[in-house]
Amino acid sequence: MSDDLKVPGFQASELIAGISAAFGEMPDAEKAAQIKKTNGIFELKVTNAEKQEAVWTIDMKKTGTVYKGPAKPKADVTIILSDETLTDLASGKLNGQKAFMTGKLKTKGNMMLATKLDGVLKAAKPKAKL
Amino acid sequence: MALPLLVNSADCGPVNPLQGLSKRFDQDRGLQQDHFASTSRAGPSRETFRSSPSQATNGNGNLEDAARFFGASASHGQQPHLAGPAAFDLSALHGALPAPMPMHMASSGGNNAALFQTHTQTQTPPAAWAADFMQFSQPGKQVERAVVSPSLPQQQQWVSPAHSPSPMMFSPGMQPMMQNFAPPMHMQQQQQQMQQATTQHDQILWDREFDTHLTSPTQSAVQPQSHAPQTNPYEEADELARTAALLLETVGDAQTTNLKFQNSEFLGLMRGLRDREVVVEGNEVVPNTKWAEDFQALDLKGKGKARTVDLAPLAAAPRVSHREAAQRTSETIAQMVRQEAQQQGYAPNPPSVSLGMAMTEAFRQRAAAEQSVEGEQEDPNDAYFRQENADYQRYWAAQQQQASTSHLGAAANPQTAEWAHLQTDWEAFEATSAGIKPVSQYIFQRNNPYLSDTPSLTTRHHLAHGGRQPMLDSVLELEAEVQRNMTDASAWFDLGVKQQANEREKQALTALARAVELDPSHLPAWLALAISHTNDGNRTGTYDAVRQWVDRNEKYAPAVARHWSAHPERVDAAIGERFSALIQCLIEMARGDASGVVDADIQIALAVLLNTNEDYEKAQDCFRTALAVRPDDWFLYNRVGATMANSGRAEEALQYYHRALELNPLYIRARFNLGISCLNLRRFEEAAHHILDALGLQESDSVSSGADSASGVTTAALWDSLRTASMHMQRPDLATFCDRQDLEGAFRRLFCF
Repeated sequence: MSDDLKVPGFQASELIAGISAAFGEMPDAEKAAQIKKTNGIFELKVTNAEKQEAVWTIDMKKTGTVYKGPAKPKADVTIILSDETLTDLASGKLNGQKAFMTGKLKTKGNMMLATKLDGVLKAAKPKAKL
Repeated sequence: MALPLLVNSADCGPVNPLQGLSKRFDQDRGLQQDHFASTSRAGPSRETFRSSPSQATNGNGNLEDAARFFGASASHGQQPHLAGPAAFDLSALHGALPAPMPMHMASSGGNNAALFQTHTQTQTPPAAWAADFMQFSQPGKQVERAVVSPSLPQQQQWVSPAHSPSPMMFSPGMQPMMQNFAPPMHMQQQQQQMQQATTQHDQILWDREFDTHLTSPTQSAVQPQSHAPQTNPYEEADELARTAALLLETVGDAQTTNLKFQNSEFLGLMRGLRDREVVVEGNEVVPNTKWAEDFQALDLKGKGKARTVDLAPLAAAPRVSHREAAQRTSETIAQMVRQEAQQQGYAPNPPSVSLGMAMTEAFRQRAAAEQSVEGEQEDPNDAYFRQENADYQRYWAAQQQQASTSHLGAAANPQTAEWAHLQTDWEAFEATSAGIKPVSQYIFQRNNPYLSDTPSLTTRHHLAHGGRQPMLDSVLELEAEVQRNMTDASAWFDLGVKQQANEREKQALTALARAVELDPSHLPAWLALAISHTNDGNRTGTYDAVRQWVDRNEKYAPAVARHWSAHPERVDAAIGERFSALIQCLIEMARGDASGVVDADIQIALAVLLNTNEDYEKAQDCFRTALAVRPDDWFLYNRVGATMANSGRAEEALQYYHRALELNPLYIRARFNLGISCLNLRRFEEAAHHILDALGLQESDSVSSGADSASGVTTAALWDSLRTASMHMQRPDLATFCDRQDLEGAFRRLFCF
């Protein structure tokens, strides 16, 4: 189920699969809260080292799921970045704002929403428990 | 007589009556809020009627009159009430007739019948169409009732079926008049709408619950509030029957062979109870009468019974005597069990005795629960649910104990299946009603070896070590301890904390919730509950738990009181505000402590709140302060580490985790957190190792009885993380093991390569 998300040759594949799994496992209340907070559909256009491109969509408006391919209804924001950038973003090494400033991240559409991507990725990350 | 006058003359100056009305409306709203407040904590508001029987009875008796009087006025006011639960689309309701109102009241099991009554009284009846309405009201009633009853279970579609017949009947005259009154009523509706929003949930839940309880809503329409007392005793009688059946089963074989058993009075009683020939009514056991047929199909929650449950509700029993009856019955049963044991001169068959005890306990607890309900300390529905759960769980526990006895083997399987089905339903119930959660059940592990030990030995063993060191006990031991003393709040607390440490949040939550229910003054339990809620991302839960901790903390009572009087809290304050208010309060408490010694608990509470607010820096500081006071508390090390990790400083977190693990190598949670941090640092091999260790520890801390236990004990989160790690390591073979949650395979794979 998360295997169909993966695209070989992309490190981000694992990440996306991880995000999908995290959303799947999230308790409903938390998921609903996350959706409410974000309220947008992110389309991620990721380019890897071999100049291949893969597209994923994170739907944080209605369903809270991740799927491969462009957004079914229109995406609220399209984020164009490289494999490496995405990985750094997800691990917390790079901050969305910084990535944008340095040009590692490009957006089309609702730019403000792109700032929320950080939050989404973080929510998908396994959280350390108190 | 006066009322129709009122009705008719109301069309002079709608404003004044409205004003006067809104005054009364406010007054009533207080009452309403009482009801809603109590119901909003858990679903059904059945119990509310018990506290105001007069209201309900009045409403019932005068239902017909009321329909006529208030039918017209009906309430745009009433409509929103009903609309609230069902839909927000009030405009559609405007078209609907008030006629449905009284019907709805009746058929919705009188759910808010009393309230509706009071509200109708406070509504300004729209004047002009009142007369028209009265004409229609009579024929309307019958149809509406029929229409409404079948749609009762469907709260959502409720409104539409109600609408479809009504416009047909009333459309000619009504519409224009309705519209006239729409505007002035809007304002009322807004108010009501707000209130309704919260009750919507209750309504839905209530109705669902109600639906499961009654397949014949028409009957309920007639007797709305008698259902309130009915369903609870229902459960009791049913519970009795079930337990009796179980008892008989266990004694089963012996029954036929052993003459003593056959002639035994106690067993006779049990048989009677099971077959519903006798029923506990009031203070004694009397032969069952006629209710069986009426409620025939009621398979209460389908407890896997081959025999359908013919319920004999103790409809007549007033609550007070019910409680006494419960107590007395429990005593009687306990006596009988003991007598039997003596008479028979055999070592009491543990399962049957325990069952007897279970029943006794069930009654006592129910009685206790009802007492607390009367005192209104505990929400009646919570109590009800908890009782249900406690009983089910005891039933199940007893069931499990006999799992080894062969003659139950056959019976167990269909029941197991049914139970599993029930459990999923129950959990679904929990999951969907996000704001309202009935207490979930704690499922004890099967074949707990510690349980068969004689209790005295183990507890003495504990005490001999100079006070409990619960962290060093295994989960099994703690579970056994709890199973022996179901009402011991500290036992539940210990179990909860241990489950937290074992990274089993859900069970921890259940256990801790149980602990605070049993003993709301148990402060550490509240703190632990707050932590669990934080981990679950449940902000409100965290807030509530910490709030409870603060309010019940006697040591700081003056400081707390000072703070709340200085900063009065608005009930409808946003959650963020309330958080900051509470944080302020805690800070003051900390400052107010004159002794100069830092109270670690305050720091912990503060840090938990800050964590929820994602204020990680401050949270970290607080935890570290607490650490200064308790340098050997491995929990605190883990918490500092977790806070750091969550704020992105995974590297630094690592050393804290290591320290925690040094202090307690069995601390599964720290190990898992370590794994997560390694994941975040992209050190996948290490991460995998740590997580596997954690998994291994989890499994070892449980009853390992082959294939079935494994999946229940380990946490899915661990497997998921392991999977992520293995995928990052480009080891899809490991990932497949993770999917299957196969620890053996994963271990082998990882270490052999």
